[in-house]
Amino acid sequence: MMPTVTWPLVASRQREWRYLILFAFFLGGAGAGMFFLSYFLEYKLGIILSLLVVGIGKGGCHVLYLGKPLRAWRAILRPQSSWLSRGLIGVLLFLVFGSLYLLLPGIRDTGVGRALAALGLFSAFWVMIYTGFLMARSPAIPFWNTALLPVMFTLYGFISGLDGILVSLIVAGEGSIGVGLHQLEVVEALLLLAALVLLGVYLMTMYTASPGAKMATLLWLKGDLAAYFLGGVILVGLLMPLGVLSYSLLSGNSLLVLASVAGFLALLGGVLFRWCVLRAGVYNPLV
Amino acid sequence: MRYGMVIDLKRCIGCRACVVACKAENGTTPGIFWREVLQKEYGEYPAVSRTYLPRPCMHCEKPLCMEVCPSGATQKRDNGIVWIDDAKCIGCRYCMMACPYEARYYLPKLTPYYPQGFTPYEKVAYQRHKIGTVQKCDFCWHRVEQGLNPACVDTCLTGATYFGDLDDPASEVSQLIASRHGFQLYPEAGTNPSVYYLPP
Repeated sequence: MMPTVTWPLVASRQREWRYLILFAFFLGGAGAGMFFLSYFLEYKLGIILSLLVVGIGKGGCHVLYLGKPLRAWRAILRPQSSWLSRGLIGVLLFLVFGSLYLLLPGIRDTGVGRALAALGLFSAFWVMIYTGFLMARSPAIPFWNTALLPVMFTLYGFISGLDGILVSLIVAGEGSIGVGLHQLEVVEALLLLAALVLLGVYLMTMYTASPGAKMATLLWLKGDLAAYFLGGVILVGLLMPLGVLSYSLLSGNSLLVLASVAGFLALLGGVLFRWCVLRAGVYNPLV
Repeated sequence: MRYGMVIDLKRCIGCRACVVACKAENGTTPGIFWREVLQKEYGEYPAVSRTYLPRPCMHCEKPLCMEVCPSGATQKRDNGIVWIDDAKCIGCRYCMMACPYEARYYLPKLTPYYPQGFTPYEKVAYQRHKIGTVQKCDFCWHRVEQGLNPACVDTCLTGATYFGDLDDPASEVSQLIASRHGFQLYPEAGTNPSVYYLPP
């Protein structure tokens, strides 16, 4: 039966990128952010986890999603024009440099060791930011077609990375990191506040950008994504962790369990943020 | 040479013969329409009108799908036709995110139209479609290289669809665009489509 299709294509959304891409993007950002922060915190478990999360988690999700998984190697063939190729090359380099940094502790204080660390950090940053550029390259989907998206994805990469560290400290213990828990809580709170501000700017910008972007914004605020965005991203992912962190900081006695709870809530918010972005991929009406 | 299409919205009656012709010619599976006909109603009873907009692949001069394709599967011929090499497609569907015209489709599996199973026609026609890859209108390249028109052009009952060389100012398509103020869909995307529409 032939469909009756009306135009403008009212709220016609992309339907292809869903759960596997969601977790590929989330695990990539979180893992890379965890590596980046773990380096400066001298947190070995964080570095190990980050490489596993990116290599097995992100890599696995990407390969499983492909229609032709055995051709996955072809995905890196066009870095001259495709952000997908550029990004996946960055992922591979991150895994190589990160692994070498981890496996060769004896050279860390040498020039080679420092170069490896720098390359690892740069490629980790690349892994965080490239998905934003990848999605922003779609003028077809105006809600994604903004320079704010790479910024937000990078910010959420740092947030999710720090969340992962806070949660993992329940197992590793506070003494595993090179700074006090109080300082981590301050950084987490500042990052969450920045996310709150940036989301506000993003929505204000998108509401007036184009018909498709406006439709997507309304999906977040009043449509079928409102529960995920307002309840998940904002309440669970930002306000509740900020509340927990505020209590912990103001009480003057940072408790690891509270910091981990805040980290866990913010991690959920990070997943839901990327879900909301993917599901609000509304194509601009053609006419 | 740059092949292009002109669709006269004044002549299009929304019969969808072109959609059926495309399906018959290319053997596309259920849910996949290389050529769709969009429609819009205007006004309120009793002053209601309806306009139809056939939408094949635009075969853009600057195809975003080709730019974002990581494997090089999406390519452009010298004659302007954008095609997909399904031997190279990895099924990442990034091109579907990039296409402003939603003209591309992913084939997750081959399904028959009827519950009884694949018809003899489907068993033959489906052989050209590769599961796990993206596909789209290719201006019936297998016909064009034999000097024929795409199936939708030859089938159109009202003669609303024209096909020819956009680079030839004397061609019918070029003259129609110039004389009837042909327009492109979503020009702000910067893709310079090869499909033009004549106002209704």
